[in-house]
Amino acid sequence: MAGSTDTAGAPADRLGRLRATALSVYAGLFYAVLYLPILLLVVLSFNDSQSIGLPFKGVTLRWFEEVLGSSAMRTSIANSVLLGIASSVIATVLALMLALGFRNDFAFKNLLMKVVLLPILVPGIVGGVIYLVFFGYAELPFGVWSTALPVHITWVLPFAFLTLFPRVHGLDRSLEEAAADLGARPWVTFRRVTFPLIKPGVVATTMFAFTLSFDEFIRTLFSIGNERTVPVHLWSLLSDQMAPFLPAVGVVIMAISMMVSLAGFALSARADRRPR
Amino acid sequence: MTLNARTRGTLLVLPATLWLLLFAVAPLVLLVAMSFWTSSIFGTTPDLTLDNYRVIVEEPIYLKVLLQTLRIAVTVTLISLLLSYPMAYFIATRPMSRKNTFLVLLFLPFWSSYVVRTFVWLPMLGRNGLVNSVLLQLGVIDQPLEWLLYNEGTTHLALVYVYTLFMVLPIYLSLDRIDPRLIEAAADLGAGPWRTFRRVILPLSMPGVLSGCVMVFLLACGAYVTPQLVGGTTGIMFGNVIAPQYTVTNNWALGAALSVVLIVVVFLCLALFGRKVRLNDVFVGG
Amino acid sequence: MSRHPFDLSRRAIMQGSGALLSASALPFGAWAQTPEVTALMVNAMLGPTLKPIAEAEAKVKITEGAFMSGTDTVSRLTAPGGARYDLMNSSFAFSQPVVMGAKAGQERVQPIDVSLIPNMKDINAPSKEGIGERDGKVYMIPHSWGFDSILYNRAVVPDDDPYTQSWSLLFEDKYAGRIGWWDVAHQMLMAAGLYLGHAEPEKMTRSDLNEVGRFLIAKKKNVRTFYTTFAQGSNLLSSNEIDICYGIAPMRNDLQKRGFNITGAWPKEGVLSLISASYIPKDCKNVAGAHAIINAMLGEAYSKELSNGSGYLSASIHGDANLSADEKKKFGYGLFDGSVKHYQLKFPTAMNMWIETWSRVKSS
Repeated sequence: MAGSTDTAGAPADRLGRLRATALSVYAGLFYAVLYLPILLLVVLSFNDSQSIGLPFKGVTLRWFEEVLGSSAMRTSIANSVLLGIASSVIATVLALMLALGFRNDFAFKNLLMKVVLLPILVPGIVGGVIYLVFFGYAELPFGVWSTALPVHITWVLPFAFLTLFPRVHGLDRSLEEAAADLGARPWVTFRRVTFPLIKPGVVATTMFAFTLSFDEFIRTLFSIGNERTVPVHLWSLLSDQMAPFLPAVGVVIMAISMMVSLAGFALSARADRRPR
Repeated sequence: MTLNARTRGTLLVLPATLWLLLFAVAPLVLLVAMSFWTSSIFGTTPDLTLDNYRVIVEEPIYLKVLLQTLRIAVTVTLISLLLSYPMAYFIATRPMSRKNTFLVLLFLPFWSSYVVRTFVWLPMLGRNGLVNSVLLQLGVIDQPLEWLLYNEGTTHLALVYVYTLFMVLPIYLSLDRIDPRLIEAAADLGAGPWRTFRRVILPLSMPGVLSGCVMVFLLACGAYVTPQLVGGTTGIMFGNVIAPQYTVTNNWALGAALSVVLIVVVFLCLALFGRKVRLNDVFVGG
Repeated sequence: MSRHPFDLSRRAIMQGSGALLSASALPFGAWAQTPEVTALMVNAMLGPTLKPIAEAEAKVKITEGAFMSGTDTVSRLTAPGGARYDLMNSSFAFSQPVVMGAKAGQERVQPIDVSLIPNMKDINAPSKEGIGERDGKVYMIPHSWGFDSILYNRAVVPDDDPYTQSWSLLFEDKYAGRIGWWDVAHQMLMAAGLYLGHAEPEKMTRSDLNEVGRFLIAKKKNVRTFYTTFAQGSNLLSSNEIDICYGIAPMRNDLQKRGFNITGAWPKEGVLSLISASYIPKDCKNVAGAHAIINAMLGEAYSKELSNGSGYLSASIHGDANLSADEKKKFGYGLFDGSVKHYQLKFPTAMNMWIETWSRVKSS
C-alpha cells in the first residue's frame, strides 16, 4: 500500500501532511528506543572495564580480541550461521507449501491448523527437555546436524507459516486462474505468477526464520550435545565466570547476521533487476 | 490442471504435516504420557500415577503463578500491539525502495542474542545505568532511581522490547498486501482518513494483528530468562516454575504435568479469544 | 521480474555455506589428531590456567559440555539414550545416591580402575569421604572442595561489621536494598535454615520449611534482585547494583582477580560445603582418556594451581603446598583443620517440598 495516504483537497492535505509527519516522528522515536540499548551495547563493548556497565573507563579492543581469538567462539558462530541458513530455508519451503495448500480444502484442515501452532505452544524449557528425552529414546547422536537441525526447523516452521499465510491468502487468485486458463502448468504458474507476487514476503520470512534460529537458545541447549551454537556458547561463558566481553559478543554476532542477511537482500535485489 | 484442488491442497501440506507429526506431535504425546509417569531422583519410570496433577491442584502456588503469567502475557501483548501497529503502518507506507531499509533496521537489533538483548537493560536502567547517569548529569535527580529496574514493570518493558519484531512483522506483512486501489476507492467515495482506516485498512490488517498478538502472547507465556534477569524479586512466571523440575529436582514427570497444564490453559485462552474474534478465520481464511 | 528470481541468491547462499562449513570443519580437523574426551563439569575447574595442565598431563583434548547445574549433570545419567559424556563431575553428597544407586548392581556409572589413578594416593584425609566405593570397586573419586558463603563489597560493608560473622548479612535489614539472593531453592533454604538454628537443615520438616519460608518472605523486602548464573551475580556485585550476595568460591576468586574489592564472610553457623567428585558414565567412548584426566586433575601441577585458578580447595595433599598462611585462609583451607565451621550440603529427600517453599517465597 505504498504512498496511499495522499488525498485531494487543501485542508485535508495539510491535515494529511500533519498526520504523515506525526507518523514519521513516531517511527523515529520507535527506532530510537529500539536502538538506544544497542548503541549502549556497542559503547560497552569498547569499555575498558572489568564489569559490564557504566561508567566508561576508556577505549579498548581487547574484548573483541578475546572474542575473535577464541576458536570455540569461531566454531559456534559458524555453526549458528549454517544452522540458521539451513533451517530457515527448509522451514520456509515447508511453510510456503503449507500456506499454498491451505488455500484449498482438504481433510482435517482445522486440525492441521492447530498442529502447526504446537511448536510455539510448548514452552521453551519443555521443548528442550522433551527433545532430550525424544532423541534419547530414538538413540540419535546429539549434534548440530543430527538433532539441532530438526529442532530448529520445527521451532521456526510455525512462525514462517504465520508470516507467510496472510500474504499467500491475500493473493489475487484471478491472475493465477488467468495463467491456468492460458494453459500454464501449475508449476509454471507458481514460478511465473504466484512466486513473484509473494517473493517479498518469502524473503522477509526467510530472514525472520534465520533470526529465530540464530537466536534460539533453550531447545538447542538440551539437544545439541557437546557442540555449540552462539547462544549455547554464551550460556556456558555466563554460567560461572564473569564475561566482561559479553557486549562484544553481542556486537560481533549482530555484525555477522547483518552481513549474512544484507548479502541475502542484495542478491535478491540484484536478481530482481536482471532483465526479463 | 491435472489435479483437483483438494488433492493439490493435500499434497502441498503433506511434507510439513509429516514433519510436524514426527517432530512436534510425537514429542508432545511423549510429554503428555510422561505427565502420568513417576519421577524420583533415580529418574523417570513409566509407572502410571495421577500424583503429579494432584500436587498441582493441591498446592495453591501453581494457580497463583499461572494467573500472574497470563496477566503479564496479556498486558505485554496489548502494549506491544499499540506500539507496533503505527510502526508497521509506517514501514508499509514507505516507497518500495525504502521498505527494505526500514525492515532491516527493524531486524538488526534482533540479531544480537536474546540473552544479550535482555541483559542490556541492566546497564540501561541499573543504579549506575545510562538513564540514571544522564538524569543525574542533567540535574533532574540527585539520587539514582532504584525503581527503574527489578520489578514487574521492567519485566513488561523487556518482554515488549524482546518480542516487538514478532508483532510488527506480521502486521506489516498484512498491511503491505492491501491493494492501494481499495484505499483510493474509499477516499474517492468520500471516506475521511480515519474512516478509511477504520473501515478498510484495519479490517484488512486484522489477520496480521491477530497472528502478531498470538505470537507475542505465546512467547510471553513461555518466558523464562527475561523475568529472571530483570524482574527482580516480585514477578515470577510459569516458566520459572517448570524449569527447576528439570534443572534442579530432576522431577520430569511433575515438570511434564505442569507443562501440560500451561499448554491446555494457553489453548483455552486462544479458543476463548478465537470465539470472540473468529480466530479460525484469521488462519484458515475468511 | 526475473525468470528465476531465487536462483542467484540460492547459489550464493550455497557457496557461502560451503565456505563457512569448511571454516567450521577446520578446528575439528585439527582436533582429530589427539584423542578427545567430552566432559561435563563446572567450567571453573577447567579455567584458562587449569585446562592446559590437565590436557598436557593426560595427553587428551578436553571438550566441555555446557554445564547447567550439578543436578542437571546427574540427571543426564538417568536420561534415555545414555549420558553421552565421557567424564562427569558433581557434588558427591548430592550425586552419590543416583550415581551409585541404592544397592550393588544399580550403579549408573562404570567402576574406575584405580590402578590408572596413581595420584589417588595423594588424596588428603578430609576428602577421602568423597570416594564412592562399594564391594571393593570405586565409582566416584573426589576432585575438590567448594563452599558457598556470603560475598560482600568491602567499600560498603566494613570487615569488622558483626553482621559479617553470620548469615544475618544476607537476610537482615541493615543493608536493605543492597542484597542479592541466588535463585536456587535448596541452597537458599539451607542457608536460611542454618541461620534460624537448624544444624542439619536437610532434615527440616514441612513445618520447619514453612517457618523458613515465612522468614524469607518477611526479609524479601531487603532484596534488590535474585540471580541465577554465577556470572550474573558477579556482574551485579562488580557494577555496584548489589553489595551483598550469596556466592560460591569461584565467584569470589574471579572478582578478586579482576580487581574488585569483594570478599567472603565466614558465618558462625557454617559455610555450605561440598566435595566435587568425578565419575565415568557407562557409555564413555574414551575410558582410558577419562581415567587419564581424573588422574591429571589430582596431579601435583594441577592441584597446586587449582585454588588460584578456580577458588576451589584441592582434594590433593599438594593443593596448599605453595600457599602462604594468608592465602590458605583466604581460600578456606580452614575447612580441613576445623578452624572454619562448615556444613556439608546434603540432598533433601522431599526436594519438591523445597521447590514449592521457594516458589512461594518468590511469588509472594
